[in-house]
Amino acid sequence: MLAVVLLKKAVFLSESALRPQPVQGLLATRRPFIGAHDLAALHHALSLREQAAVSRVAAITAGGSEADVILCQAYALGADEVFRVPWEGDAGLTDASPVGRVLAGVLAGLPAGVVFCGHLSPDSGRGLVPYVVAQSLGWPLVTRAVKVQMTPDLPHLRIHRDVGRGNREVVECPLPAVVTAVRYPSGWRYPKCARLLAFRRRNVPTLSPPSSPGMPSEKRWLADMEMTRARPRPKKIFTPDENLSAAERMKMIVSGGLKAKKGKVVDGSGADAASKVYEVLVECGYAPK
Amino acid sequence: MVSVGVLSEAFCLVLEQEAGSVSEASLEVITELYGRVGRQGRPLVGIGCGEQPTAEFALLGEYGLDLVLLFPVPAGWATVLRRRMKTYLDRQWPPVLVAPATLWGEEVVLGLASELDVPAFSNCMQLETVENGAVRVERLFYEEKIAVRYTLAPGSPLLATLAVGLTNVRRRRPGHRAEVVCVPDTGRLPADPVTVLGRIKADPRTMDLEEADVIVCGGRGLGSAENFALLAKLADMLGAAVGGTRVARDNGWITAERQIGQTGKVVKPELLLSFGVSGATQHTIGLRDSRRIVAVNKDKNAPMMKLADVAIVADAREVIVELIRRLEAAGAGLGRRAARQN
Repeated sequence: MLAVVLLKKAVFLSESALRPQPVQGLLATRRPFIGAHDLAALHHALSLREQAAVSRVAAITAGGSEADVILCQAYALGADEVFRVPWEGDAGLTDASPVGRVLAGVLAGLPAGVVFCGHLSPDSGRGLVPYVVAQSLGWPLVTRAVKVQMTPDLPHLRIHRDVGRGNREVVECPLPAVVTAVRYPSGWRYPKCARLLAFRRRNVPTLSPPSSPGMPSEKRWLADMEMTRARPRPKKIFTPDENLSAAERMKMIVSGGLKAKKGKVVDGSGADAASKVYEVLVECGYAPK
Repeated sequence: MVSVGVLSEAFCLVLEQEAGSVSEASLEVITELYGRVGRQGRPLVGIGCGEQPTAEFALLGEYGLDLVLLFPVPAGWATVLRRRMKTYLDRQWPPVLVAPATLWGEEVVLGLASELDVPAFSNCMQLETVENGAVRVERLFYEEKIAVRYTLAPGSPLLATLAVGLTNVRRRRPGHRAEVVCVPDTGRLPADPVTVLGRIKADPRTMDLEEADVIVCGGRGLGSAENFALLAKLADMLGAAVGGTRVARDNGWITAERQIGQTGKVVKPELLLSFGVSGATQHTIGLRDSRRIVAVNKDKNAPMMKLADVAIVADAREVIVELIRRLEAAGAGLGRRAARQN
């Protein structure tokens, strides 16, 4: 079985955001790299190959020849095959959906059993491509994977997902499937120098969807798109409820947003005080009676 | 009375539900939407999961919702809700459908966008209407260095998730009630191929303080790293996370990511046990969403004691040692889980 990893040519703006310069100046300093989520996806696929759950790992990216640097990194990290899907559009700002459909068209022609993607890319981070790929192929999608295992005896994947608050959900998913990764729990792999040199001696094969449908750009939905330098992200700070009186609002600001409570005050020795705290713990279900 | 017919011009919001109630992230998005578009007369419609029109959904009218549509889907089943929504809204698809930028919001909105082949923008910072009623969204790109504002062409649908943690929740219309309409069940849908086998609870020692359910917090009153080690032992037994004040951090008793307050984390635990914390404003600003606070301090006039549900005037170290002894005697070792088993 083939595991395919979809890698995005993420770009890093190497200039400082604090330096006053126009947006175009910032965009001129782009350097391609593989994002952390994509890298985690690649590591999950390679890990499945080491468990003999898949036989080969192929890395695919969409873009022009400048995207080969991404494939070079994937090859050096251990991917068996690398392919580039020619794509001229802007996959980040507007064309996430069309690029997803093109990739799905390519995947339909491969004997892929599982497709891994990064959950979000560090540059655009729209997270739409995996949904479009899964929808186009009609495969189930499991997002935010942190641990992926093949179920013994069954063509299923057992996946631990990050569901927030540090909790995980364990799901089982039939193959073929699309999986998005956010983390890889074990140690990272290092690129091998021999494979980096080997990559230079080979031509990157390109893949095109069999039917090559004309994918309309998402720009058809837009009247205008304007780019500016970002302002700092606002942070939620405490402001008192506007329905309160001025005096109450002042009190709340002074207390940092906490209202004074008429709670129980207990005065006593360590043992008595501990009994009171223990009572609260039992009441809340955090300690046995 | 609001008619379901308003959907063709309404701003719809997919409500996230946690433990049977509407999540704070959803309330934030309602507040933001009401401030941006609801005040201009655009109807706001919430989409929730449930079979009975409970009072809780009607109360969302106070935050700005005009109508709540309840789909007969168990909360958390994003794939099934998507299919139900697609069937129900097929004839009168709303021009704007948003959700909080959470796991649930992403699964509903991005999944729908891929099925309908319409644009979706995740984690947007702002959504507003501009001239001619066109909708504009703003989101950040390239490690938040560049902001892109998309103005949608007239008639284009918009699906988006809105970033959370940016707005304070507000009851803008006290006394107002939203109309709650239950959408009829349209028969069985194919089962989701992905089976949930179970959940693994986070390890409180390593989890983010902002996400912890129980926190034990220490301050200057604990006085030494040894006492903080005792606090960590207590936290282990309760299944709680350890936090501290700026003084504790400056003294090296806790690490920077464990500091609570204005220059640290803003926490919202179910239960916060505070030992030897005086309660300076810079610290309490990070505790304001705590559901229940127990404070132990020698000084009964300390500000923290006025903010606590149970204030105990005692030596913090003695109380910690005694609590550990009692928990050991009771055989507690895994916090709430152990309590339930007993």
